[in-house]
Amino acid sequence: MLPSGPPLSLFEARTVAQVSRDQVDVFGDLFLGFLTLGTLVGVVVISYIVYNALKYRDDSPDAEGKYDVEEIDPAEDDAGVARPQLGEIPTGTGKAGGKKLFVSFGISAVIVLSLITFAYVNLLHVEGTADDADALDIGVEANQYSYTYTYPSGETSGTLVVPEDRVVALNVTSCHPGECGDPAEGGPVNVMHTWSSPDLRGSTDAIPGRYTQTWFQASDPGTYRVECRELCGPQHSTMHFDEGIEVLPDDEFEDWCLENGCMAEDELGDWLNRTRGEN
Amino acid sequence: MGDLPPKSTVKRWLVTTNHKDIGVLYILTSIFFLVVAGVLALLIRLQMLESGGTILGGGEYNQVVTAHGLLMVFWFLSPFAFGLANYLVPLQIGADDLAFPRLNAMSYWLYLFSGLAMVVAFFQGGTHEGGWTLYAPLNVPNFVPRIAEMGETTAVVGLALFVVSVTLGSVNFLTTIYRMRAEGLRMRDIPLFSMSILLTVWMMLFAFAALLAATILLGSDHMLGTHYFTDIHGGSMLWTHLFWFFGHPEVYIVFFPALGAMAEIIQTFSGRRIVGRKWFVIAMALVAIQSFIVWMHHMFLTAINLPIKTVFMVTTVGISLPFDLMVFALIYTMVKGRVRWKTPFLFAVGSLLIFILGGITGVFLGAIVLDYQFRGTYWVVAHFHYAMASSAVALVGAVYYWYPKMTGKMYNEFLGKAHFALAFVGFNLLYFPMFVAWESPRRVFDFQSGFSIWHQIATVGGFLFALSFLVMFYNLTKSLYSDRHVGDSPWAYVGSAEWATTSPPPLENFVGTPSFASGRLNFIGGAEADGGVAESEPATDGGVAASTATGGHDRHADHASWWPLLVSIGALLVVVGIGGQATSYVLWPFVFSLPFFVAFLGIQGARRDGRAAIHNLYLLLSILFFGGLLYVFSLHHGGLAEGFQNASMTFYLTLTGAVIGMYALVGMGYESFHVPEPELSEQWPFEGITNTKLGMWMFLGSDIILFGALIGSYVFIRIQYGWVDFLHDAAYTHKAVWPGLVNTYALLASSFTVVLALVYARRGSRRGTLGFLGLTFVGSALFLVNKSVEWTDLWLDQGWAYNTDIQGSVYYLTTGLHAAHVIVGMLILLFLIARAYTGAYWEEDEEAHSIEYFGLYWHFVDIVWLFLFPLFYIL
Repeated sequence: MLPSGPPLSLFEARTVAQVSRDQVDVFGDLFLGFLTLGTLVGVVVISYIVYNALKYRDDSPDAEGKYDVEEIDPAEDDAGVARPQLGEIPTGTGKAGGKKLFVSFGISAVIVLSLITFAYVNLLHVEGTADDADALDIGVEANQYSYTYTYPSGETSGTLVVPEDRVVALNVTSCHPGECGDPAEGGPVNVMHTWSSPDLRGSTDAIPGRYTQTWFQASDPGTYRVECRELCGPQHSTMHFDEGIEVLPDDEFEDWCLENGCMAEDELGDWLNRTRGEN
Repeated sequence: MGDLPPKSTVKRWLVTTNHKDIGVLYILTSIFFLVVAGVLALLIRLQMLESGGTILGGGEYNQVVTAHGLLMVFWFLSPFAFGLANYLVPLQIGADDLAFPRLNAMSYWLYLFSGLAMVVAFFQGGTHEGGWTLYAPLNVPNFVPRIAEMGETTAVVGLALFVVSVTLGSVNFLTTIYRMRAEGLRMRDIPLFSMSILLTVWMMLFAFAALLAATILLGSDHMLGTHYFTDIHGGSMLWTHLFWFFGHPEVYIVFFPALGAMAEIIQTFSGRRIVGRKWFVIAMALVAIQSFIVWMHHMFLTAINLPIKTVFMVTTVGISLPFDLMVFALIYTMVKGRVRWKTPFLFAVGSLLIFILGGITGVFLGAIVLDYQFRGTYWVVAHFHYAMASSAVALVGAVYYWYPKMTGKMYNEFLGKAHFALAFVGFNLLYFPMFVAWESPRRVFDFQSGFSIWHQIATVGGFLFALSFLVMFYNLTKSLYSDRHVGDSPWAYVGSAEWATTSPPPLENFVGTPSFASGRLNFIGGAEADGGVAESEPATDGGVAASTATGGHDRHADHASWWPLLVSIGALLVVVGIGGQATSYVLWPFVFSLPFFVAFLGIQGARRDGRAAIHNLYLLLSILFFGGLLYVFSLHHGGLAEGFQNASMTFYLTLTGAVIGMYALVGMGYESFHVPEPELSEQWPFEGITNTKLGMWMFLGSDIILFGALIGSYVFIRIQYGWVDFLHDAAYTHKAVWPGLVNTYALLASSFTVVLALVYARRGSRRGTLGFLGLTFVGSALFLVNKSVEWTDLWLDQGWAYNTDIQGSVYYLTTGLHAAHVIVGMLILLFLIARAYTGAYWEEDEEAHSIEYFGLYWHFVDIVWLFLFPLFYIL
């Protein structure tokens, strides 16, 4: 919601419309972190497997008339490990190897817990921003096979036109054009879609009868792709828009907004000023 | 019929109930579906060679994608594993077959026919095109092209039939593993492959019941016009909860048998007992349980709130921990081992490497903010193919491993290694590029040009991977005719019992009775293994090594029956026909089949037990019943002739199927099929009851989940709507409480009478038994009559039907499913009455078990009503 009323005092918590870490940053950090750790773990574990399979490889020829090596007589077997014997009650290897197992398990537990923490901290930031930001609130209605954007004034647009460097908060649902806001009793409003911006990293499902939220902040003017990521019918493959989002500098956005009546003139001015950052 | 014809005859394979035969049937059939779904996959890859793809249209592509997923997940992966499980589990635990051999055969035929139905659906105007995940509301009639409505329904009902097959299978395996282990083999001692199957069937029992609920609701939306998934209060969210509550355990159901096989193969070919076996088993069990509390990670972008999302992130990322432990256990097993790089080992380790990639990338998906971007993209596709297709790779290794045991011949080792090389390279060439091109959305063939090269590489990999299977088919077929014979075991360092018998094993699996009482395997009354000691105190875990009273086999065990096949044929006809009917016709085939059931009881009962008054009575009643139904049918359709003329061909198809099914079920009930319970077996913790009783309990466990899902759906919808508004907005004028009350009393009384029937049966009192069974029938008839009066008022007088509004949908479907359970109970009662009349429950040693098992079922039906009554009449 765009706040109206007297400006807040210096001592009151104030939400800002510009966040220092936008969705692209958050995703980038998380992805890099997970990718690094994941690749490291994967490479280490896989190498260790291949290494052991090679190191302990037994190249002895097959036993006479059989298709596998000759089993060593237990009396002469000095490897110090328990070997499977036909018809035994399996007891595992007892204590030997158990300690190694616990150390490895402990290390993986530490890694997993730190990943959870890392992910959770970023989750809080992402969810928090959507709630706290002095954002531009836009309603998104997905249908087969396009999106309609509703601005604070109630005017709609087929393209999402936004100013740069502002948090844009999307409230997303799925409905038949013309029936949105008043789903027919017992009738299907529309199928599930996903609204997704690959470059700006905003993404959420569009569910008939429900509202979901996402947000993004674009730092550079230009056009950006929007695509649907939930199978929604025979034309799902073509439900993508290379210029679905248009990011404009402040003055151009102001022009566009006034021309299209996207919000009241004084509200627009206030909001743009209030949310203009230090850069 | 009891004896098996020779393996070279077709008849043998149609009537067999032996687990080894059924195992082979499962493996071969699953390979058939692998090829069908694989061809669909190659079509996908061809379409993806170029963005904008011109081979298939949008709707066609979606059907191909959907069918590929459904067929691979359901009709290839698990059945492939269960073919091996069928063959090996009884051998590994020292049993001579599964607990319920005819049900086992029926599981197989239902599986085959449900899969055939899926293929037929393509040709009935088109199959489902919304992905194997069948999301709502894309899955409801409003969004299905009209011409494809029949194929769509066939697909949904075919899937439901598959669930029936799986449920029978899980009941069977659970009973077998708990009650038919060799003496001295405690639960913790069973080989790791059998252990993994045990955990798999536990998961299957509960997870598939939820899927059955989902398919029943969806099928009802299609065939009856209910509103579960069209109304926004149910809709997408209801479907995703139901489907993923099933769907997540499902992926572990797919993986676990592969994991068990990997563990055994790595142990054998490392020549070292698995390290940390106890922890490995605990970790597997933990994953099985935890798999039921991670499902919302498929729903992170839906309307669930932050605290819940967080919980599911923790459980999801956390589930990687037990897997880590299992991976390390397998690795350390190789250390200081004598590692032989035979084909099974290469596939097992290869699949381990692949699975590690799948697992790690799965952790990415568990981090909610990452999932926000990965959802619906090729990251997900690559992840789950690495995870799920690694199961296929491991199971291929398992096939090589156990091929010598099953056929008595050795495959060609060089070709095996060539297969591995081709498969491993092809696999990674196919799926790794999908990680690189992860930002292309899934199920989409119109992607950004920067990704083209990766999709093209993937296509090349796909064809290579497909080619590798041909190498296997050639190898395994040709080797059947080679002269590379194997003895009991071609491998060194094997441990489990299947390697202590011939290759292939004899019909009874072992010579003599296997026993671990001495601390290792030996055979009582037959050849000794390794000269072990024949007698010793039993080493049990506090359980009882139970022995049955009958010494020796005075009754010959049966191995063949036509009825499982016949029941399944009836089911197939029903499934492919039911989608083509109007709502006013769809239930009639089942209704009409009821008097046929009664008539068959009379006819087949007379044949089996000698004609008695009861059989004549049933024949008479069936005719009267049928006449009455014809009357109601004519009222419903405005005249008898009109009704039958306006019925489509598919109506008669479904009717034929239903009648055949009834005939076969009666035949199966009356068939004399002897399955001797093992004389001496470990049965902890289920000593002191029979196999059938345990089977009934397991089945009821699954039925609890089914009703739980239906009741849960009702509660979910009602909470979304507003608990009180839900009733206010319903389209009925007045819904009385007293019919529900009467029904409650009727059912409770009938539970009481069925207990008395059992008491009198055990006393040998014919009159008492018949009297109380009859009263039970009367009680249930009263229930149905009362319900029909109530429904006539609500439906015909007040105009409130199951398709009027969402309130009607949940009321009629939930109580209707319960009523169907009552009707099934009544059919069984008629059977019991006929059998009691001719003295079946007073034979020597007979404890009227059938009445007892029925009583359990009947009490369950009554208890369910005790939940439905307050939920639908009072609250």
